[in-house]
Amino acid sequence: MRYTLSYDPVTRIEGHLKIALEIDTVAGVQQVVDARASGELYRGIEKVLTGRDVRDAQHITERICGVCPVAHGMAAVLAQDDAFATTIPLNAVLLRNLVNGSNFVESHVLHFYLLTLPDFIAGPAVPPWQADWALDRRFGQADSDALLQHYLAALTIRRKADQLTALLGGRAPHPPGYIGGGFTCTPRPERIAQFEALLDEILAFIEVVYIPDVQRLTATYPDYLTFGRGYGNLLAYGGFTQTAQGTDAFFARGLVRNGSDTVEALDLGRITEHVTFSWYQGREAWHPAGLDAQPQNPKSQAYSWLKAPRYDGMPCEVGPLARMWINGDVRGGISVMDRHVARAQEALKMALALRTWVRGLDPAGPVYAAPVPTQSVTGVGLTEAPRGSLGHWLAVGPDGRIARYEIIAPTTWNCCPRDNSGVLGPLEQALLGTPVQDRDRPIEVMRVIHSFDPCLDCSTH
Amino acid sequence: MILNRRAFLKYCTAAAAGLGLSSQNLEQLRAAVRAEDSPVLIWLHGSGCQGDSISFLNLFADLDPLDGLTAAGVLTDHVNLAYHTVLMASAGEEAVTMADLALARGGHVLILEGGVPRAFDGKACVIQGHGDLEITYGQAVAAYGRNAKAVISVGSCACYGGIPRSSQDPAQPNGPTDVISAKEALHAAGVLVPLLVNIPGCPAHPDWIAWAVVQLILGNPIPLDPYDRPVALYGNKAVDFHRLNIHENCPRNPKHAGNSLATTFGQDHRCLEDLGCRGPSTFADCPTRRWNWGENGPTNWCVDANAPCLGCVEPDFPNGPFYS
Repeated sequence: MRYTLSYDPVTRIEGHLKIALEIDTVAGVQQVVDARASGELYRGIEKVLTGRDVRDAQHITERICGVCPVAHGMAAVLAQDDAFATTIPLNAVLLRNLVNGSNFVESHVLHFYLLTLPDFIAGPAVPPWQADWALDRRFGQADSDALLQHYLAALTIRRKADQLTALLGGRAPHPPGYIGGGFTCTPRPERIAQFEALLDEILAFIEVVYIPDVQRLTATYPDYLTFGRGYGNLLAYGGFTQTAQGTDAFFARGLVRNGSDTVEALDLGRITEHVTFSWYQGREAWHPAGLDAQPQNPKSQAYSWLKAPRYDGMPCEVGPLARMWINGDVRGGISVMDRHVARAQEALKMALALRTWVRGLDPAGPVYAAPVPTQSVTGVGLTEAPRGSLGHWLAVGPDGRIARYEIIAPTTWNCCPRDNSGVLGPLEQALLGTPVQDRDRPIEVMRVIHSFDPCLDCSTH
Repeated sequence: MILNRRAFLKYCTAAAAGLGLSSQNLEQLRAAVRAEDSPVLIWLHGSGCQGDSISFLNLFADLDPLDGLTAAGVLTDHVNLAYHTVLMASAGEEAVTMADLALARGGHVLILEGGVPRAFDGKACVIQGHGDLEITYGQAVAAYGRNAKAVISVGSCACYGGIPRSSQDPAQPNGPTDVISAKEALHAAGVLVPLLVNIPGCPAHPDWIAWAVVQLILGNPIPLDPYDRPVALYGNKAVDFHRLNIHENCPRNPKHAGNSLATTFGQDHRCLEDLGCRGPSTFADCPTRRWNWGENGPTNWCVDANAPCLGCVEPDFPNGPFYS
């Protein structure tokens, strides 16, 4: 018997996501046989930006997302530096990395404990954790109690990680320190000392609590190493350069096809966005630098406010697993649990890098080199956000103002709808074959979705 | 995060001066949150970024959650948060049921985050579904507002339309970015709520959100300025321009001896007025309260990071350009 079901809201994500599923029994197992992911919010941030002062872009785009605002600030100022050919001081390079990297750590801890764990253990016996689905609980009482304690401790740790962002960025969320040409905040010695002290606590939590908890989860749910794979196409723009010359990227750029060990060079000209199944006019595919999509709802066949980005025509997964794979840090499998493992390993890698970068700051050195604004130029800002690769494509008009702006956010890659050929998005594909015990409460489906750490307000923007 | 009752009370005690609470208020608060009918909060998110939810998670309480307590013990006494999609365990219909049960009881406090789109018949923001039936954020604001004892709009998008409203072309009032505030949406739906309080900011400071919740629990009157902001938090420039004006109260104000004007970015201790700082036209307690509290007090604020105030609590935010 085939069932058509939908779930809205999908909770413990950022933003508005609906999942529609076809569920059928195949080879004796009830499972997902078709999936549609719908992003349900349109704000038109690119339209908000058009006509504004170029230097406003980092503040407007940070407001795309309250969970991962910082990467947008980073991408926006990188696009400006690219457009105006600005070379920034090393201090500014490191400050930008430190503030964005702090947001990675905050976001990864938040994701595992607040957004993921309630799929596996009972939360506190009160709303909003009750009533819950209480399905497929495999931990004994002692482990459950310990994990719940860690959930509570994680609230404090993520708050401290936001203090790192605020210490150098001004406040969190939405730190105002990013600016084309550098950074506004100076690395005063007392700030460096406070940063290191907070970071020590956070590092200890990642090493002693977070990573062992992910290992414990993987050991208890080993079947989740076998599904939720998707296409296995992994993409990373890379980023976090570590020199004033913009070299020595902390994350490598590259592309992996179908879980291969071979990392290909990335040709940015091969990125397109499709809108046949999206609420935008037309049924074409554009390169983001040439796209000015006009929203249209209703539209026949369309079911999402996300566009469908493709590389070389392929749907690609972005995020910690893609980054760590392309970087050569992790080469296990691609699955629900592999995503959690890669995210935890990346939290540690990033926290260690924060320590290196903060010790590289020069309290007496400059943080800003004034850009020379130019008219009628374009710039691209590519970086990595907690949830994956982020790109801002900027065009400056003859009046020196923003003429066009296009954003492809990480979750646009991961949670997009079908492309113009009807090929499913990465999350949709990853859901196929997911077993479903209880159609009213498909906990297995939620676990697959949460492994991608969706950020819907970023994806539609 | 202040969701459990013990932590909430401890937070209020620790922050009593900052929140304007007397010892009598604290006693009333203890009685109120102990009562069987402790207030139910329904927190909805619309056209926004959830930055206010994240900011609220940064609320600092001088409390170690592991301090001699079992987890169950910590969270059985609580301020009753019935619905918040970022935190809640259930999903889909069961999640909606949680909110609907609270709605049926009535007397809840409705917290609204994000503006209310009118574009595409409101389908620029759908927040719940029942089969093929889609509930837009506008419909949900009206439905959950109907029996509310009070509405708190948190963040500049819910208060005034904020970022998504800022591209509205006056020549195209029904365009794709047609967004209204929560108050306008309630009014348009004919829903009268006994009290609506705006807590703007991009994001709103967690203390400001907590302050509003505390005042509602206490049943204290909340004097508002013409933009529905609590005078206690945002002043009232028509009555007293000096009080809570960011520039007037800024430690970098040039009226203080030794202060000079910044001429470029990255200059410590200098007034940012010539770099576009909105402090002179913005009213909030940022210079004294500051942001991201931890064990050692506040961490920083925009101006001390040499970043000009963007005026994020004002109704015209994000009016630009920011740097001139």
